[in-house]
Amino acid sequence: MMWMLRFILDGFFYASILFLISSGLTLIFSVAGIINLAHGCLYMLGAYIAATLIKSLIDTPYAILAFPVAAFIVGLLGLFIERFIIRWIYGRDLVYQLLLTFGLALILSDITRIVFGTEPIYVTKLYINTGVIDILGSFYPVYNFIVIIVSLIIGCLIWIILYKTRIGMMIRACALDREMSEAIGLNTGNVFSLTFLMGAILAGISGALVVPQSAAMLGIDADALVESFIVIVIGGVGSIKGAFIGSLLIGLIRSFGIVFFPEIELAIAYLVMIVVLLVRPRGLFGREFRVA
Amino acid sequence: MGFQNTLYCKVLVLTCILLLLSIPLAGSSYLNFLACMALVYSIWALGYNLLLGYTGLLSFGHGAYFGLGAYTVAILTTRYSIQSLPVVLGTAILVSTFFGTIIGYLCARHVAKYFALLTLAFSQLFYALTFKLYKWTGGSDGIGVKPLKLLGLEFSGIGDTVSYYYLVLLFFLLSLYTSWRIVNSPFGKALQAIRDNPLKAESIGIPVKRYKWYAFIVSTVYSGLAGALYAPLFGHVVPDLFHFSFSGEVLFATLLGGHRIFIGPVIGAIVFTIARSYITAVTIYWPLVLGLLLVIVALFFPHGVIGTLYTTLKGRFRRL
Amino acid sequence: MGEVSRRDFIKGLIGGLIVGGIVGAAGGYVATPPREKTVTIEKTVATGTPKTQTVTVTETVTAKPSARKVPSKPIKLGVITVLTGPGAMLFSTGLKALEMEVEKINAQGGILGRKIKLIVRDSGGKPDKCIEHFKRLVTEEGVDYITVGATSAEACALAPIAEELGVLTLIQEGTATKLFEEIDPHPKYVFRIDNYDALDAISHAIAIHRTWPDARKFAVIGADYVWGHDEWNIITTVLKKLVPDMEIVAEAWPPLFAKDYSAHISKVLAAKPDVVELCLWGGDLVTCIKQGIGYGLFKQCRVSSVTGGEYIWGLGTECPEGILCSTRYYFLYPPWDRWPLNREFNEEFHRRYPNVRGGYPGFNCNSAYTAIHALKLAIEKAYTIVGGWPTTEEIISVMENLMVPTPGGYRYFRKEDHQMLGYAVSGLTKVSKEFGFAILDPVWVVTPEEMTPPPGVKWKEWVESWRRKE
Repeated sequence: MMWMLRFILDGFFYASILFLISSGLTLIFSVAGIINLAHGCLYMLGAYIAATLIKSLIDTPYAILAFPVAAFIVGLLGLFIERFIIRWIYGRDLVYQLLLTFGLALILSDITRIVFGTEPIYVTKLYINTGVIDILGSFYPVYNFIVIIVSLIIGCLIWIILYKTRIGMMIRACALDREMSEAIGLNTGNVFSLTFLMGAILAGISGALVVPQSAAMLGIDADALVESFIVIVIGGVGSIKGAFIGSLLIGLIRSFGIVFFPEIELAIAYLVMIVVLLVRPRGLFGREFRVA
Repeated sequence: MGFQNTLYCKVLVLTCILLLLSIPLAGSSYLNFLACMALVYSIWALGYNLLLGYTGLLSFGHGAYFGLGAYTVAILTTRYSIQSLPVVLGTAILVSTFFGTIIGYLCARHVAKYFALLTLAFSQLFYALTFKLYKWTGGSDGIGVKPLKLLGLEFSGIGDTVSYYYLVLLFFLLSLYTSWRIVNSPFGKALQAIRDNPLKAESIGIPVKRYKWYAFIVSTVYSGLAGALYAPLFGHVVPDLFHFSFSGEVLFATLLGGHRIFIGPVIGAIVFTIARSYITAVTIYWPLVLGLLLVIVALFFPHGVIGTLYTTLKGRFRRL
Repeated sequence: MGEVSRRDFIKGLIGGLIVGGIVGAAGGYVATPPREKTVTIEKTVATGTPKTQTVTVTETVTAKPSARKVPSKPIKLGVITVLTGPGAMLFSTGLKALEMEVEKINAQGGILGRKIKLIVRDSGGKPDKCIEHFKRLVTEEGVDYITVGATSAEACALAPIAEELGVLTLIQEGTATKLFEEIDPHPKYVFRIDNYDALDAISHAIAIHRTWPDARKFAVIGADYVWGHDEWNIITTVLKKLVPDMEIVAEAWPPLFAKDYSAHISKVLAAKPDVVELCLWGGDLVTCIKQGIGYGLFKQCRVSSVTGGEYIWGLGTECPEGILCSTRYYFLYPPWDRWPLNREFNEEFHRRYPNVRGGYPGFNCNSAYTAIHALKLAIEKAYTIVGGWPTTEEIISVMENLMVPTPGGYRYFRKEDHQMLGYAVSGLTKVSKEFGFAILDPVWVVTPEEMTPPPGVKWKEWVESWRRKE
């Protein structure tokens, strides 16, 4: 029984990281209509910045500040990219949007390599110093709980921003119908910038949260990107709720897959995605999409 | 005017073919190798553009069918020692077309971004499987490819590249011809109608979903052929072929040349191959340079480099 | 020198002129291959006999003219390695060591007076790029020799092409077992420096048994790709021979470059094994150990890792003690006071790159050192034998039995399969305040004789043939 509990917790932990990455991706997608292939790089960059900061501040209480700072820097970068590069191609064909973000992904990951080097950056102390707790006779790291809770809080924040504030209303309006929003006097350009800021912050914070328990290293961008694609396709493109349920599903499938069907653990996520698309092409919580 | 146009056209095509035929005369095995690579990419891009340029469907997972073709050749020649050229190439095309038919059926119901995401996910599924089924595929170490044999001749990119170059050239010309015929057939025109306005196409009686599916299948035939020719050229295949970033290369090559021009993907593929080969040789910052190139093409060349040059030149001539 | 008859002198002069002319012509014709045409010259040799007696010996020498004189232009050494992408962490330090050694050799005058010029290409870990670079380096850049510090996939892809193009290729890593077992069983131009995967696994299994002879229940957390599965397969095969009643209680296979190992650790812990083997490398290993600390992995069982060695430096002083790590080269072995070469290499590296992975060279640095010095030694030795700048074939024939002093002790190439043999190092981790990370203490070695199958024999057949000593 207690082993069962551990696997559920492991699943939750994995899901919470995945949720943060994919909610940013789905937000940008639903509002600005851009499949941001550079999203994984923002996540990787968040990890590198946080790792560097934590490493230099490890013996001071300010180490905790590394998380918001990393998220903020990545957020600014996202804003910059939107303002100066992506802005030019909103009205253009999908192919150019994909080509552009693909190019951005190449550039960002190479810049990460040039700035931070090819060696992974590890921060061990923070993860170990938060200690372990005893659940029904087996150890479980406190840090994982912190990540789960932080992710839930951020999820709630996103929900409040989207559904309880004026800004959220504007964002939702843009996602629903851009031309109509413009017609009633919304500055959609600013809304898009805001969305990119939020999406990039989410990517940055998830990268930062991963660092203490794993490492900042090259190549984590592609995996994160592909996994969050699976999540948003399952949950329904453009739906935060879908991203939540989707990442929970993938997290649990993964942690139980390791125990019960290790041979196809990796492929099972894809199979779930294909089944969902066959039964319900727009995903679990996706809106009906329009042709064109 | 029309007569002159076709005459010019014929002369141009003939010159190009002669030029292609004479490449091995330079006697550089590296040049032959590079030319083979460019032509393989061209075949792939030609098929890909039937989907992208003529049907308006953006696939981000065509590496899957390329990879399936390549892996079929590798497994047949290495694991089963079947090296007969027609058998191997035929099987490779069949395998990739088979999967293309199934996946195309599932994907053709979706539009635009969802289509792109879905094709991407499918190619990643193959990527995961090639990694996982390492006993069969060699996993990340990949699997070697033996030369193809026909009439006592050996074809591979490792030894005598000249014969292999002519083999690739033959298939390239065949692909060029067939895709030209497809594009100008009623089926091709229907695809363009779907691209320009799916609703209108549906209303004039074109079975949109079915035709999209057909276009997908045809493009996987080309991808499979290109993959099958790629494998003996390098003599080794790895799961990277299924990774979405590899699929991004064909997208880039196609857009570089211009996806609204028939010959665009071919020119794009040739330019891309040569450019990448030089960039990677010159600098270790090649991902950065390549990324910058991509961004520049996406931002400033809305019709591809060749397409944009063509339209600006045409505009200038008209003014004269 | 004694008296030489006039006629012979003129003959010698003419012969010399012919040779000189041909050498000059060959020098000018760099692009053309060595000519097959041979010249017969008569050479007069004065012997060290007493003054009064002059002996004239006439001998016929068949010379390949282009092979004689040491060319003045630098040696072009092509280097293909991985500098971008996730594989870069494995190989970028090797390139640093290579550059360091080449600089040192060049400062001392190069090889026989020829400076070495490195032409570095990045493959990004992709075999197709690797092949492209290889062909380009050989046909366009005209490199003399090539050294490759790249992945197994790249080594497997390159070997057939290197054999076909006839270029001396030193593979530093690329340690796939199947390279010389299946893909290139009778290599001519390809040599491999580092211990290959099967040797790692066999030596590690022997070390596990020596360290914990009482262990019976084994479990693994291994990277889910061909390397991880192969290593575990070899380790368990060897352990079965050494401990017939051993059992495998759990296997967990996280994907390569996974960031979360919690579920895998949970699974393995649930089976209560005696020893958990971590078939992981690089950041994966560090991440897994770190998460293992959080899960109490090291309190509940003994842990070993087939790669360990230098990657644990990334954990700093937080590294758990008592992990059995094996490696191909360990920076503290042979001890610095006993083997000055190792101390010099380490100090030089530390001085130049204090911030590169703990500041000390890893196994790929040792293999880079070995590659360049093996080449240097082989050329110099061949030069003294043939009396001129040796051809690639002559270098190969020398290299086939070459013993090279490396920072990690003497290593030598085996003639039959061109595999370099050296020992493997294992040890238990112990946090060192002096270095700021965990070192291996105590350290023990597994010798090549103990872990290497005879040439031409696959590891599996060899291990199966082991008999227990009663």
